[in-house]
Amino acid sequence: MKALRRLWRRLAGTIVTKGIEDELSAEIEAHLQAQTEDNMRAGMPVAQARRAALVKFGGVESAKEQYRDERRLPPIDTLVQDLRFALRSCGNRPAFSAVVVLSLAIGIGINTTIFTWLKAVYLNPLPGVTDARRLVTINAAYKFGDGYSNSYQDFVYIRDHSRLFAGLFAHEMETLAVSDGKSAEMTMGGIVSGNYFDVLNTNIAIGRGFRPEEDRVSDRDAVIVLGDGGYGAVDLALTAIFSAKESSSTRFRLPSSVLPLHASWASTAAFGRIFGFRCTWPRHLIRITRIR
Amino acid sequence: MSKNETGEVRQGTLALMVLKTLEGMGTQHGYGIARRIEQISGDLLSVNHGTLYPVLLKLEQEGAIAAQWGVSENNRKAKFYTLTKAGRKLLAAEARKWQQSTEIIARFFSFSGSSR
Repeated sequence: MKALRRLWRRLAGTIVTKGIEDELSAEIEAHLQAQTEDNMRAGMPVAQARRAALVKFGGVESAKEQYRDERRLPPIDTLVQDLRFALRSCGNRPAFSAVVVLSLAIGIGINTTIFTWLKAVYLNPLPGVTDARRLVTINAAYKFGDGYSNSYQDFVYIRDHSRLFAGLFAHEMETLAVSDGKSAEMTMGGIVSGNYFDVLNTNIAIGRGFRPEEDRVSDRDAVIVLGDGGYGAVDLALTAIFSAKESSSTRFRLPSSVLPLHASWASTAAFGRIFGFRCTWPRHLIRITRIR
Repeated sequence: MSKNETGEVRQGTLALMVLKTLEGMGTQHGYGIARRIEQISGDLLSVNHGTLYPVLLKLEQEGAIAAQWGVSENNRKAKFYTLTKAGRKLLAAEARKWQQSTEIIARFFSFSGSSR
């Protein structure tokens, strides 16, 4: 408590300096005058009495310096002095200062952007996904160009026949309407293949992910996994069955307490349901087999 | 407080002397405290009066003493220091520590002397 109180007083002494130097000089001068008068009473001439008082005091400037060091926090004091000097310099040359500030702002902005991009792409491309660097998107190439998504039939064929990859899944982002029967909420969702969570190797917080066989028959195993609303997040997930009605629109039946969560990834039985298997063009991602 | 080759005084010791002086004299200015310490210690201590002021400031920052400007006996403006309640507690605690330390050291010296 004592140390804290002193630290606070020293901090205040660093910031508030007005009048303190004058007070210190006045106090020292009063001390020297009292000593000088005592010396004179002891029989010394004025000049000698004053000199003897100064000698006994032991160096006025040295004492003042020691006093200042006790009154302030020297490192903070240096910082404050530097800041004052910097502000004064900025005030004296405003145009130059503006150019410096602008240059710094642009420099920092560019660096931040580059680092954010590098972090997203190389350091942590897919949060929650195991070994995300081994995930690769495969695109279709045609004679008029490449970078196209593949057909659902291609996905099924490659999934069932290729032994080159550790896994292959299909996904397509969709805007979904989630309703509790009274009100509806628009949210982004993904229509994905049944092996989605297996290939991503993502932990499901509550409940389970999709089973591989759940995307084989349209409407039979319609399952939804809810995320926590974060981008691509599946940390908090719930499973819920959506009704498989005869109508062409997919309606989710969810308890109202679930609504604040966003339906991040919806099942994939809906591939056939929403788009029809023949005309669906999802993006395909593979997990490369680790080379030993 | 005249010069003496054995009279080195550490800052903590000087602070204790200041507290004890203020306890005995009540409110006093810096010069008065210095004179009092000088009188009590005789010629045994070598302390410049200037070193007293950083110590007074430190004690004031810690709340052991309080300072106020006033007028001295010679009608001069001076800063007067008074021991606070916290200062009395601090003095009592420090006095106990000193007592213990000196007793322990005294025992060692008496023991070494008798074993020769």
